[in-house]
Amino acid sequence: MLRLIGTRLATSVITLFLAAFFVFFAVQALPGDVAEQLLGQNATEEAVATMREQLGLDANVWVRFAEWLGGAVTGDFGTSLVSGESVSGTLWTAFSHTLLIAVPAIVVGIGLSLVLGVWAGSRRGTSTDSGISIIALVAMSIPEFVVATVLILLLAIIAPIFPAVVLGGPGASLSELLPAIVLPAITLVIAMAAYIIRAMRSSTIDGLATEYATTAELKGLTRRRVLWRHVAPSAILPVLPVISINVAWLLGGVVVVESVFNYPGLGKLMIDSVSTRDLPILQAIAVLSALVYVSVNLIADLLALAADPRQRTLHSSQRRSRSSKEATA
Amino acid sequence: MTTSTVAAVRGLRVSYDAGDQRVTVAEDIDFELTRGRTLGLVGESGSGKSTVARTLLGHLRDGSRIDAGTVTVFEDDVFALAPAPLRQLRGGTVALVAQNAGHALTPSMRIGAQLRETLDAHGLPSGDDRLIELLDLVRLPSPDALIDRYPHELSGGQQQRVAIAMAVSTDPKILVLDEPTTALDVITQAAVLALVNELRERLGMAVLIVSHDLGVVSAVADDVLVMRLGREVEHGPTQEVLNRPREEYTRQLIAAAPRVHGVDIIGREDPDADVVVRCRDVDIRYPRAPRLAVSGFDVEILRGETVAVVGESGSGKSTVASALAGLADVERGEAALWSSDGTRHDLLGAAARRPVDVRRSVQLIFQNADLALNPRRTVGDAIARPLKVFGRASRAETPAVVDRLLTEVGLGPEFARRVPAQLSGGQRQRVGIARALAAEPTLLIADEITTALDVSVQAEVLALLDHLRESRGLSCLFISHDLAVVRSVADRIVVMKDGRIVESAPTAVLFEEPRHPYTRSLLEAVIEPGHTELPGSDADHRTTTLDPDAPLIDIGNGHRVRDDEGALTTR
Amino acid sequence: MIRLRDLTVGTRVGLTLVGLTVVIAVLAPWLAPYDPIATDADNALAGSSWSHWLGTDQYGRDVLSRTIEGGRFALLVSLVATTAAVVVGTLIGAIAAYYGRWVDAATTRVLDAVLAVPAVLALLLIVSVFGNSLWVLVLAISVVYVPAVARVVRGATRPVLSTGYVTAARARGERSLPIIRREVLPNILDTILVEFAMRASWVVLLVSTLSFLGFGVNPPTPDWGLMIQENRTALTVAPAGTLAPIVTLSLLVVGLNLAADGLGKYLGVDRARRGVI
Repeated sequence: MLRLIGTRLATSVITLFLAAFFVFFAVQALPGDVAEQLLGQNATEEAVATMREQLGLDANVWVRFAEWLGGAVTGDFGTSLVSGESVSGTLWTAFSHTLLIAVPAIVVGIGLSLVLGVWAGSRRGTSTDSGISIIALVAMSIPEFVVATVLILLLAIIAPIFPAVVLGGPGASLSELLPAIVLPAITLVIAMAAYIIRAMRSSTIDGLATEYATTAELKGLTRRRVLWRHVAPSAILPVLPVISINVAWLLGGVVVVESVFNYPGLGKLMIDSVSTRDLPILQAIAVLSALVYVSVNLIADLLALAADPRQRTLHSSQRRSRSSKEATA
Repeated sequence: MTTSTVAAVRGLRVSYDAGDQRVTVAEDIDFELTRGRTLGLVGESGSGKSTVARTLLGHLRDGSRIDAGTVTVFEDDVFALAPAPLRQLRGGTVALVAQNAGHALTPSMRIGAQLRETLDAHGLPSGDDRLIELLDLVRLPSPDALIDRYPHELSGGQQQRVAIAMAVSTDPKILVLDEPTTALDVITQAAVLALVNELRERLGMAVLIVSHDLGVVSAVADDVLVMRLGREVEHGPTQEVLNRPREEYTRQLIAAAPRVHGVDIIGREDPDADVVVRCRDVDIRYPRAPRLAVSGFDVEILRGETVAVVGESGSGKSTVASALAGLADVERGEAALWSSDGTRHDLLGAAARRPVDVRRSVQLIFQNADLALNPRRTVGDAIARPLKVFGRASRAETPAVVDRLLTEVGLGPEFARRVPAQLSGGQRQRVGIARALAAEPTLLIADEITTALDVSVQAEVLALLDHLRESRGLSCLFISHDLAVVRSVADRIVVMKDGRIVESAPTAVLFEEPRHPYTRSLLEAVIEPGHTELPGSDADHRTTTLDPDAPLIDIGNGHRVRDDEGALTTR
Repeated sequence: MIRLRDLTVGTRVGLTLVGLTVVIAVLAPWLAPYDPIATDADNALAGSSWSHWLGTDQYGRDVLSRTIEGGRFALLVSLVATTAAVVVGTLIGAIAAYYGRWVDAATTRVLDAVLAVPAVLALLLIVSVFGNSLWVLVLAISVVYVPAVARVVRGATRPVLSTGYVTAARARGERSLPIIRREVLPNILDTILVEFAMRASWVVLLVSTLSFLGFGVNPPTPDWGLMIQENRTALTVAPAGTLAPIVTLSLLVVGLNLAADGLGKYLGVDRARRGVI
């Protein structure tokens, strides 16, 4: 068991390292380096060369990678090219703002979708099922910026309950942000729920068709008990990866939603930094997103391990078959 | 209905929706269940036997319905029951044990919780002592520890015992067993059947057992109902039906059943035939596995000879087949093949690195006929491929050769244009054989090729294989878990357990004078039609353990036995 | 291989929606009543009328004409990019699964690492550096989707590899590429087809999103995503300018999703369970 977790952890670290590697060298491969960016197109070659020396850009690329990686591990991503402030400070502010809309969206979205999915799956072929399935299909077909636009129209313009956009920018206070998180969070719930509902529905249908579900029903159990006690715990396993991908996507880049609502989170920071070509910030965002992706996947793996007794003992099958033989003897 | 009659099925017809039409699964089925007696429902796949059995629990598959007739359990029409009484009937009055307990037990729940839940649903006491009592009843070892186990932590036999404990926990009046031993090996099968018999007597239940295996039914059922394509063929006391069958179909079924006794053993030992394959002390290990899958494997196959390798799952028998075909790495030892001109070729290493001639000479036929053929290619295509790869026929000759091969395996040239989905299991297996023959091999490796087939089809495929061996002078390595199947085809038999050879002897010698305790318990556990007695019910408690250092000892007549405790001393 | 009359109503509706959108996009220059980029300052933000069925936008451009032409770019990019991503992804996935062991392990790690970097970030950066020409977009989107396709194909290939017909081919000593081509690919074609249909729906959404964010087509080229971005400030005044592209874009994606679901069901590939990756 511990060894299993250790292996997964090591794999995650390798993935994260590779991701950081790709990010660093992809940025290196872009035409024009930081020095040229900073000085603009009209800079003389000498000025650029001096700048390079100051920034340490003429050092070996591997040395710079090692230095950057060493900084990244300790949370130091250098300074922003535009504002001159520390990258990690800017990053954390934006990330905490994103968490403010993402965490409620994740909690509500996952809970709601799982219940709806099980419900639709257990009533396969009924109007409840068709209703939920059609709504899910439409929800995944409408882009988030449309959902956001419609929500603004309905709940901010026609019925002005929530603010349409955040005006405060990155320095906005918590009291200013709180009413503004509702609409973005709803948009995110709609965007992620469809996939989870569909996966859970499909998995529930498979679960109900298994022999153990039939056996449980023919033991004289109620359908409700068969569904929640026998089918649901195993049915959630194939849905976990779908959930983890959605969560990683939510935390990593809610670019569109934040841009529509002018919400000062990670996505907005990303889009602004792309416009200003603020490479240190973009590198940091990429690494942070990769970290989120890897951690969420790791958590999903561990949850699967907790939910499925078979996975827990898979690696010790040798020992198990021997001990069961001894028990028979 | 007499007083001891507990259930009656009258004029039952069941059908299901298949697109625009309704397909009848069962028609005109009549039978009664009596307390303390066992009825066996026998039939091949598609006979509707499981569907009929499950109607006793008021269960139909989605899309199925009762068109006519009634199912009555203690005066109640099962299909007219309201949900609550139906739940009381299910698991309370009528209990089910499904085919494969590995699939029938919920993987995410502990054994104890599943047992307790059944008792709770029927308002019975469900304390730990009751659970332990139940597990004791089915003779599971250390029941107090088992309560906290998950189903996958148990062996197949143990899982089936838990399923039985669960079924009898509510003291049901009727026990329905749907192919209860099909997924088990022979030794465990014998023990589980003995347990069922004992429980029937102790608890006074009526038992309905569904099986494709006449032997199983013969050993436990008082009456038997033979079904075919949803209809009754014959119904009567077991001894009468088996000894004096009135219907032709029943006679065919009985004739096709593999047996250990009373079948002629092909005695065509030809000591002058040249050796085709020789393995010496072969060790096989899967990549990075801590233990050897096979160790110290020895075999010699003569031209035109069939050697069977027999063992339970996990005995390493299929691994031997993979290694000879170049699909698993041999870690140590030697394996060689002699072609007809006497040249010696190594049979070690991956297939891709062997010379063309060696690859051609060794051909495989597979266990699962469904997966053996590429579903996207026609039968003709599948057979033409080895012809092309090994250059056995030019492009122009190919269609004629394919036609000839199809005819040789008992299909017609018209099959060349069909795709696998249009064939039955037996026909697919014949195509698999034709594909292997296309390469004109010296050695045919048949890996459990009849396991998924009905007995009558199995008998036909075995006959075909034997005919080909004779007409083409093929050598055959026949892998099987079933001693009875092997008896009619093999010249020599190698018994394996835990990756090691336990005993190896000419077929007649092995059946008449088995020396190793494991071989003996295998032979004793075989149940065949006509057997009314079950083998000793403690069969699975006598697990044979092998001494890893024991040598194989030659005791003459080509008979070799592993020198474990009890192998050479007693007879 | 696929018979139309066996398909469900939903699938047929989906295929019809997609087909219709494609036909309209191809014939757009002949169908559009006005030049989609011709401005008319006197007639800005007009409501619906006989001359402008869906009214005009803030520059007085005809909304109907812009909507009819607005799918061309997104469809073209989606078609080319999806094809490229599915072809490359299939090759990588099938080869990784076939060779197994370290090839598979290494490929999986690299793909996972690429998936860990947010797709939008990569796309935005590539577009902002190399411009938003058709080929840059196609390349960027393919790069983003190849790992996901490869992962799915790898998963679909593995069960095929353990079948008897692949084993037989290996035992015959056939080389890996003929085995992949003859035995493996025909049997994962259903998965690939469904994969194509569903990737296409995401790529359409992605392209529109890029346009919406200002990284897709350049104004004044008509494009649904861009139209929504330009016209949504006038949502209350002239709603048709925003709603028309929303409806057409959503119908196309609903159509693609219905088609993918239907094909999946018809071919026995459960697509819902895959989720976004």
